[in-house]
Amino acid sequence: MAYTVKFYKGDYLQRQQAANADRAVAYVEHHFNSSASPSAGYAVVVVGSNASSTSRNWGRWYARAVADQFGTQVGGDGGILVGGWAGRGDGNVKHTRMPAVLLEPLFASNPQQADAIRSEAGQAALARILAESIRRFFPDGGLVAFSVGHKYKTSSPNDRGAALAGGGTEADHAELVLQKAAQLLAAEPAVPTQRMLRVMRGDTLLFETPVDEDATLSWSSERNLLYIADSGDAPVPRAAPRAVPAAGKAAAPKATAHPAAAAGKAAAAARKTAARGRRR
Amino acid sequence: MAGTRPPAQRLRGSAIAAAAAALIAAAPAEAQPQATVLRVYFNNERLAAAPDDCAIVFERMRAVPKSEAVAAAALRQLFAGPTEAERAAGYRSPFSTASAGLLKRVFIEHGTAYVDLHDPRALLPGATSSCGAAEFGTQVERTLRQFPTVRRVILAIDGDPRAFYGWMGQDCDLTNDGCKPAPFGRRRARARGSGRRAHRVTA
Repeated sequence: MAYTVKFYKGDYLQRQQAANADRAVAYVEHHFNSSASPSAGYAVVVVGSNASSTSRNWGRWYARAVADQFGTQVGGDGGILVGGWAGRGDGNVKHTRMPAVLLEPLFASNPQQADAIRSEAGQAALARILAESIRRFFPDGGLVAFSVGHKYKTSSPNDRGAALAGGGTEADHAELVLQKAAQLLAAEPAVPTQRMLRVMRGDTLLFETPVDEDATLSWSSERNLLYIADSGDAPVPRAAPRAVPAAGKAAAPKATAHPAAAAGKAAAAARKTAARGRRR
Repeated sequence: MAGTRPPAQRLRGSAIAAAAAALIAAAPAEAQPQATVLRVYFNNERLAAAPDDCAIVFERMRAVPKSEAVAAAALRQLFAGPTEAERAAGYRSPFSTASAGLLKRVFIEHGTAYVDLHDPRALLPGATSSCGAAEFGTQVERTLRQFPTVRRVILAIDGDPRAFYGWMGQDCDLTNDGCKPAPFGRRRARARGSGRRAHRVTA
């Protein structure tokens, strides 16, 4: 199984309807945030007012990963704004029948963050986090719908969103990130992988080791030590499907967790049960 | 009634009165008896308890000629943005002198303020982000809600609410009366028929 990425154009409702018709498994609309205050800078994801728990967990995971990568905070409610602010942005994602997120990882109005948005390294980091989030939450592959915020709207063809501090536009750089993410998804087959602990310096991987899905990691700043609690579980086989964190069922009528998420969760639960049986 | 207010509120009230008096005193002598003091609201992350909350706003006072329709006057003051001194003090807004002419007209019917804007899409491209929308929306709503007759606000671009809410990525639903353009058109037609300027309806 592999991922196919398709970019959708037209007005936002048309994009969502087209993705529904194509039976996409996930929908991503990429924006950057903006504020009158140049120092504002946090990562947030808008999910629809009818968002499934998969969308919410996906959004929270992504926002946290971006905040960790860029040394910022998460905004909203643990990284997500359900239904946007007073409904603004809700219409961009609420009409999909698959999990959907509207990403606002960085602020175009923040000069330091704008520099990161313009840089190859910043775009690559954002693309890597997005691709990783898709692999994590949709491990079975499938069609992923990408939508560049503001750009290619039939009703407003010249819209490019917010201006980047120091030059450039929100939409053009969101498109660059999505193109990089699409390349990453297309380049690597959707082989389910286990949870990996990585140590990186910039974009360079220094160390990598598998850890249990449920292992608790704790950092001791006094000892400069990352401690992995020993759960006693057997190591997860490399080919085992990844569990999706807390994928549940939404109260809203929208599509809930992708079947793959449920399958991954069931597999993780089965591994835990087996391990408990072995301990007994 | 002022004596029954809690001390913090009394202090706030007296601070507003003092600010208003200072503003009126600073106005040209011939304008003083004619002045009305209005409030506009801007963000200020130095004052906000949660600096990342783009929907926290703080009031600033503005003196305007007394004869002017107050809702329109307040919005015109808001759309002109913070003064240089206010910006130096940390007040922030998507609005500035470049957007001073943004208001086309405003009128109030049955508790709803209908705000018709000249097309802001090229002027305020960041206003549709989640933070930008919170700043834009909160500043406009709080400025209009200082008038007791305003309970909610519906916006339009050149008389078309669908254009405004579509720009904001917001569906047309009960909160914006399904983006019906009729109130904006009705008001325009009535204003034409009576020879009265629609934006002169006061709060």
